[in-house]
Amino acid sequence: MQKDIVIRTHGLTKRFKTARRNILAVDNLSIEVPKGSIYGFLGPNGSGKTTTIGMLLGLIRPSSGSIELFGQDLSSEGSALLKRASSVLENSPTYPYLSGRDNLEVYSRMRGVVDRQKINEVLDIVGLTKRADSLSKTYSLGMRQRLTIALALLSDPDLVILDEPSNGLDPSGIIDTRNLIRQLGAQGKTIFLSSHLLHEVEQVCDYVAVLNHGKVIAQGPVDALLHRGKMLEFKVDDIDKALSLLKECAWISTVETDNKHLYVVTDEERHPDVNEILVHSGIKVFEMKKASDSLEDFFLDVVEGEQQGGPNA
Amino acid sequence: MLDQIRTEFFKLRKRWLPYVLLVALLISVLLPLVVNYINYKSILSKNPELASIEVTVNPDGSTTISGLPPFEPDSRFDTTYMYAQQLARLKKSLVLPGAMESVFDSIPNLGMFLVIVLAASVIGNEYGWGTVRQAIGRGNSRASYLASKVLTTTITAVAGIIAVVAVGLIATIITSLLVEGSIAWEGFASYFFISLGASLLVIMVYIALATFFAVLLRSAMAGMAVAMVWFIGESIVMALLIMSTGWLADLNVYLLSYNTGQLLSFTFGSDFTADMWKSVGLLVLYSGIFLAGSYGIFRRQDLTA
Repeated sequence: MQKDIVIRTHGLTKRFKTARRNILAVDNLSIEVPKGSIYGFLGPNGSGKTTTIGMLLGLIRPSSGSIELFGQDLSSEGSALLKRASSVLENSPTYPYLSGRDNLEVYSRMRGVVDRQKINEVLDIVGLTKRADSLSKTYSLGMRQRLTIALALLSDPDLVILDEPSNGLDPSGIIDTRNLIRQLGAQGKTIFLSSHLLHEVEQVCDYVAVLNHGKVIAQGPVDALLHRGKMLEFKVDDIDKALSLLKECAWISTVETDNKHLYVVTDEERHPDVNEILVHSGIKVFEMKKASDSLEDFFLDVVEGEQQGGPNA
Repeated sequence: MLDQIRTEFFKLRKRWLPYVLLVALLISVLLPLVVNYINYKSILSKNPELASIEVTVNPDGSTTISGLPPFEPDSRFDTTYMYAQQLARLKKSLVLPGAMESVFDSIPNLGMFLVIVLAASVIGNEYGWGTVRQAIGRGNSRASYLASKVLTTTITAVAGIIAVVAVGLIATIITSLLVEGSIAWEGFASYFFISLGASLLVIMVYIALATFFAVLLRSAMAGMAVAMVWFIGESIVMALLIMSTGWLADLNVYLLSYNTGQLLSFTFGSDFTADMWKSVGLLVLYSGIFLAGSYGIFRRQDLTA
């Protein structure tokens, strides 16, 4: 059965035209974010992440392509659809002359309901209860970030879009944010997380898309992209022989080497068969263990691969 | 939309700015009255013989001074006559209906700058703080967001001006009674409401002007600065146009300052002329153009930056 898709973009493109330059910020971007998933949106600086989020939130118009939120076209139903979403934007925008509590009240009022119990609840979730009545201009960057996370939770949204939510947070704040994202995910909310912190993304996300120069160069479930549970690492005496042998097996999807180790990707139930083939062919196996790419390795691999002439994932 | 207007009022009433502007406007109206009254009493205490001077503002707006001591041309400095003239001017500024003219002069003159500050900061600061992104990203339509800001600023400015005019009216009633002992109300109501309407219309144009530049330049400070430069620049252009000949000389009648000046030249006893009606039309047109321009820019503006 096909999963419900909360965000779907098709051929999304944003071009900035100035008198001298024509910058393609987002190039024919097509992504699908399944309902209830935690979707990591990765990319180097200037890859088009913030522009994409801007288009998703109606802050900037696409040059071409379409965006669907909750199965409906954003360009025609924008306001109603965005009321079901919440966002934590970069640089933690808040009203400096208002207290944390009043900042939350502003956004409550915009929705026509001032639920003070809910305001206290979200302040508690982000750990700002003690400083709730201080002016937000007296907050540290981390506290402002917590406040914008509280803003995002205020309306009990179906979709939460987070743009670098760990920016400015101390290690305990980063852990709290990670736990909060997991908690929201467990509640069935869809999370769209743009982050530079690959380790964070790897720990919380089910799906990732990697963006470079405005293009998606890899996307899919994290486990599949990192071959989690599928990749074996071998240390053998004759790598070349093992490589040519295993390449002939149709049930092995990938065989690669870094000249020291052999990496084999296949279904978990076939792992003993790989070892058996090598041993029966007279290849000495010194070491065999399960391996997976870290997201950082994967990210560097696809980004560098793309820069060298085309996507390799 | 109503929720957004309520939100804007919530934000505005938590700021110092509107209160500071209101106090500045109140001071600009009350201070001259207090200073004039102190001067009046001082001159009178030094020259008790001048107590018999009477100043009457005629229904046609002219002033009649009676009870002046005879002018003595042989005297090098007829100080009594000088004091009498000064006393007559002070009396006019302290007694209704003349006293209200100085109130209505202060409001648009200082008020123009104050509403430029208010309007530009209400919209422009949201760019600086990044809060405009939060609001639009949460499904508020751009049209209602901008409209709620303009309406909130307008309602606040109108309420502030009405409050200041009311305080001014009470203060001038008090000074009238202290100086004259009675008030001539004849023809006052129509003068009062026309002047109030003219002041509000002038204020509205400057709210629209400041909103336009704050949206265009995405900044409160830049919006204020350019709106004020426009205001000052127009006076220079107007002076140059008046000095020129031919069709150029006629262009000044289309300038904002010329038309606000036309409306503000309305005094007690004068008629609301056809030219003034033309100015009303032009100022409404200017407001419409600035507000439509603000929306046109805001509708397509990239708010990610």
